[in-house]
Amino acid sequence: MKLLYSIKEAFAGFSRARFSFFISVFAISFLLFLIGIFGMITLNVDHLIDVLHARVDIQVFISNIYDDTQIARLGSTLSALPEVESVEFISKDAAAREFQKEFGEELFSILEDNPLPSSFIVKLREKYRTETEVARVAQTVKNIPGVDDIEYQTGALSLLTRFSGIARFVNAILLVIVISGSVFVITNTIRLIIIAKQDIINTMRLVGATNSYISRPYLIEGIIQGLLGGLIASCLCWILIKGFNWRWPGVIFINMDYLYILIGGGLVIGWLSSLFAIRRYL
Amino acid sequence: MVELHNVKIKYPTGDGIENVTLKIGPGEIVFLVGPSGAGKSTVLKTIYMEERPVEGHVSVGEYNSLFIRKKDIPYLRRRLGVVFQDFKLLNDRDVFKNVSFVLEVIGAKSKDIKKRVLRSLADVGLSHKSRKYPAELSGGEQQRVAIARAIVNEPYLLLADEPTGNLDPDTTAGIMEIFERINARGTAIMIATHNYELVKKYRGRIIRIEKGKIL
Repeated sequence: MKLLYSIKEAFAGFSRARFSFFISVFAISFLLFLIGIFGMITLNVDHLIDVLHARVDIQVFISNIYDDTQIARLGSTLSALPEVESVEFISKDAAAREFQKEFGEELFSILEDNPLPSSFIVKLREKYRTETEVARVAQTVKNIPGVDDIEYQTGALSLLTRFSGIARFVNAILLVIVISGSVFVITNTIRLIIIAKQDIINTMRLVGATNSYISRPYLIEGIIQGLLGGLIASCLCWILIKGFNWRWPGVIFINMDYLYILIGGGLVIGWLSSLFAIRRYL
Repeated sequence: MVELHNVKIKYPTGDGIENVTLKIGPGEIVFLVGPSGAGKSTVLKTIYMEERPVEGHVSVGEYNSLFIRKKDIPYLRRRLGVVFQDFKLLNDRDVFKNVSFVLEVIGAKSKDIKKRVLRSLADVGLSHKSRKYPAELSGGEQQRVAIARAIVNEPYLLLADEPTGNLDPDTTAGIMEIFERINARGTAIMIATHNYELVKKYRGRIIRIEKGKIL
């Protein structure tokens, strides 16, 4: 009964401040949409970083004069390093097959014997897969007897990591702008509704309505505005993602869960703003 | 039942009341008489705790201005009925809703609400106008709606601030009759008025107030 009254009053409130209501829903949608776009960029860069991270490894070329026993011992030495997750052996033959796959040429048709060294692919543990750590471990490995040469690639990773940092920073700033902007517009709408209903609010007070009873419709109003804003923003993001994937398939990775975060975020922002407006103006 | 003890209220304009001490017993009719600006409304406001004294204290039933918490004030007001000179009716709803609103606010059951509102409207003789809007009513009728709203919750004290201020003598007599009927059922009534003639005509204890002080 009481809740029904609050909901009815909440909707009646919108008709009293219709223009302000639309402006605020529009503004929240736009702001959350911005967050959505940057969130999407961050998510994609992070995903790419994850993919690259998984590929970070050091190829350790073994001296040609080493025999099988010595190679096996070198493998154990590498596995025993605290930074190492796994060690995979690539034999001379496997290397030759790989070479052939890559260059399409029978290696032995040019040369009599196989000049390619056998090697280990050393994969590091997750936390050591950064540019500096990889370089440090590589240096250690290089000094182990029997290691002829090493090879690793971290350039793209460090570039992306830096870009991801920037994207996160922009996102954080946007988040502050979105939250304060939304709080401002919702608070203003509710303030207008409260002013329009000052008489009824005063009368309610005089006949013994509690503050929570008086304020509930405004709380619902704020939540509805935030929720609508979140819904519209997530629809726009969804359309954008679908459009992008249609035009450039497979370029965008997206976890759709994050659209729910936009809706939930809108709801929470609406709720907090109306709480703020009620404290301030009621 | 209601007691003001050495109450002082000071407004930024310099007006207010000082050293006001008075009592209202159960079932009493009290006239608070004085010219405009004497502090009558302020006295009423201290009773429904719209104003809190800077000195002295007010006790209303189990509540005391010294100890009452802000969140308890609505519960105090549910035990009182207040009638204003400007009626304070809500123009966006009809007579029935203006009265039922008080019961909705306190979360009464809808079956109960209907019964009590209709009884209250019958008490003030407006049963036939329950679907009219305030703008369609005369001043006297609007005041009767305000009274119906004030008594629907069966208060033990009815506070009326210049209830006949805007009404002609015939209508005034009608309103006073309603007050007497309500009082006969045991509700105490305090009427603030500047109309000395009115006070002379009806029975009730008279308290005079001038320049914020009880004479």
